Amino acid sequence: MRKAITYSLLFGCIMLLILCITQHMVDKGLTASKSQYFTVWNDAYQSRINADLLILGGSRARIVISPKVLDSVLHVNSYNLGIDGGFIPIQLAMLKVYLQHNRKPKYILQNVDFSTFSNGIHLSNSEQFIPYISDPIVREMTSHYQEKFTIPELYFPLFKYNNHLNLIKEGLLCYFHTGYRSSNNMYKGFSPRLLAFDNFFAMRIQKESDYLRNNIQPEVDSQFVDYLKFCKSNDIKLIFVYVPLLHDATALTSTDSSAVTRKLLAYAKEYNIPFLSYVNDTLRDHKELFTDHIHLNVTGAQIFNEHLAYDLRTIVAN
Amino acid sequence: MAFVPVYILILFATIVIDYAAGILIENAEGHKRRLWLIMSLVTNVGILVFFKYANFLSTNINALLHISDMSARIPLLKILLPIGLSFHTFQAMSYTIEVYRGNQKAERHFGIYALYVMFYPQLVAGPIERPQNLLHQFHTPHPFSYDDFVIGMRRVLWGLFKKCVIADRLGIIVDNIYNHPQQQSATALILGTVFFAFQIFCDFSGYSDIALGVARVMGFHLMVNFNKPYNAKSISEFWRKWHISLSTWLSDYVYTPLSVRFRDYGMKAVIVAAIVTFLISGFWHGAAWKYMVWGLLHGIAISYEIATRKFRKKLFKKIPEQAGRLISLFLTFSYVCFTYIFFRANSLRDALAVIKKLPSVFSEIGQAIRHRGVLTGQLLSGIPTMSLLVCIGYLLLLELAHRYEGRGSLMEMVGTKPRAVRWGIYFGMAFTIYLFGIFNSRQFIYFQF
Repeated sequence: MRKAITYSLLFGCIMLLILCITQHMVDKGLTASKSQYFTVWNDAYQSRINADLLILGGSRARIVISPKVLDSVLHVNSYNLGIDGGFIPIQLAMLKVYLQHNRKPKYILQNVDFSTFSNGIHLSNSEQFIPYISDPIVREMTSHYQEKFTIPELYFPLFKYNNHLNLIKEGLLCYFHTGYRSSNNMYKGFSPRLLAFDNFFAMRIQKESDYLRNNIQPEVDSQFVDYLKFCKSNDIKLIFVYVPLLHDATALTSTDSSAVTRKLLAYAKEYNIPFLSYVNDTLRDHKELFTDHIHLNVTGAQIFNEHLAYDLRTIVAN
Repeated sequence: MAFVPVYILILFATIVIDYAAGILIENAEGHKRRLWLIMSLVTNVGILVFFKYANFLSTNINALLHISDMSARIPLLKILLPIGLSFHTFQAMSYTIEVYRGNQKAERHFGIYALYVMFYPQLVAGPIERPQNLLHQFHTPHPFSYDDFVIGMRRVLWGLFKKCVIADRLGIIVDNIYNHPQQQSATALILGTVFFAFQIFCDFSGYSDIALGVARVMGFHLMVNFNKPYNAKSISEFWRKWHISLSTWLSDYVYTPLSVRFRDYGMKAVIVAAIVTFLISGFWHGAAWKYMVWGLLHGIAISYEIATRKFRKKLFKKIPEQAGRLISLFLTFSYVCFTYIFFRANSLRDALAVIKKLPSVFSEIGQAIRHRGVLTGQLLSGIPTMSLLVCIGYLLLLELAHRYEGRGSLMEMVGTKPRAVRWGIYFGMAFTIYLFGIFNSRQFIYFQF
């Protein structure tokens, strides 16, 4: 019996030790990763941003709004914190992380659109949160989605990487090869898309009937208002920007986009927030400038950023 | 299948009845012995029928009434199937039958008899133990044995690997395909069926390994339930290697008695006995027509094999042994997979839809050859190529393990290796389970029976 207990304990301890060491290496490696998933999170956590102008939004911000153009025209240090599939609660969690580790920005360019007051049930690319789930902000935010992390994932060593061989590989490579960089065409969080037009958005709407069904969710609205109040009380100037959509994009969703716009206009008025809406911009009629119904491609983004930077000049100068 | 605490009383009632029946059968003489046996069997079968088949029967009677334009309806019962009912009922029945036949002495110790029915490693999904194998083990002390502990733990590890890493990984693809069979290509349906064959094997044999391993840690030896069934060269051989505890149960208590009783009818009796036995096997698996069809198909195959034994023997003498072996393996596996369509499909209608689609596989493959890349793009749409490759890799690993182990058990072979190799294998398997196992709430397939 003693032999069995001794060997079992030995086996368990060695297992635990290896798992803990591996988790440490993978976590450490991923926090040094420059891949699409982790660059922005790592920059935020490692106080490498400290921007004057922060761009906040979902994938439409991440893919479309270029800090390079804004920096050159506005002479500021901007950074794009846009997050793929990021509804407002996720964007605000990202902002909280940013504010914990970086200087408060002077401006936040908040991308708004038909989905501003919506929230999905799924976490897009939930892998991106894995290295950071020990942070209460990330843990709390992810707990509201179907892909929320389970107790074993939160507390068992390395278990959060269960079935994520790609992350383990990337983490270990980054840990052991300090020169390792995965492919990344990102510039200060901006990640333009080169792809030709596809029906991704239309297909998603068709496939996920619940996606964006509730155009104004009270709890998201309340979080949004808290955010507006926070910015006001902390002297952060908010600017709303509505990035162009392809002309028939909103018709695909079951959201009442005009109700969302009315609400946004009301908040803009109440909190004295400039609202730059490009929803009726002529770009909306140029399908060749879009990669899908809601995302401009790299050429479209370039044209749009020049418009945007021009329009922002007066606001930022004041 | 569910666990409802009050259902423990059902288990308790059957234990009391069968315990008493065993003693009464042993003490009685003449026709009274038979009477007590019938009472015990009727009780066991009655409980099984009530919980497992009552609603199935009601639904079918209601359908007949509807066809006959009669307005009367039998109300459906709001009951759940008690966990492991089919398994412990069969185990309890084997006890009273063996006492009746004089092969087993009636157990006088109520606690030990209760333990025989409820022995926790095999309570939920078998193996369905015989009293001759298990009861006597409860009478002897089992001091802790390091060797048993190691052998048992190795078996548990291998069982977990098969269940969590292979079966549940395959299950994701199989579910994807079988939940929407109408939208799948014939190639995807065939792939899904072959994957299901390995999923159910790894799932059920994985459970059996865990049960055997846990029992072995405590010093108990349970019967082996699987012996490389997909290496069978005939359906009869398949059933000697697959779910051995059930197939021997059915053979001992249904097939053999029926064939012996009607032996005057010669071959006809054997064929009818085979078909009846496999219909019972199908019905035992679940209260649905698809399981009946599955059982019937196996019954037909066995009957065919019995009826054509001499002819097939002559035929196979004319072809090289190795070729004959490969043909037999291929035909047996293909037939088993074909029957799995009924087993896995969500309904009989779905199963028929799958079968209807199968012939188009040839044109699909032809197209795939003409247009490279179509195979994973259109034919297997929705199945990520990486997942597919991982599954194929696991199946190759399983086959390799089976080839390596030869006649013995893989984990016993591991035990003969030097310590560094052994521990390397243990750690490798434990890490693979930990990092690549699927740990959602997917239960063992046979828990539903």
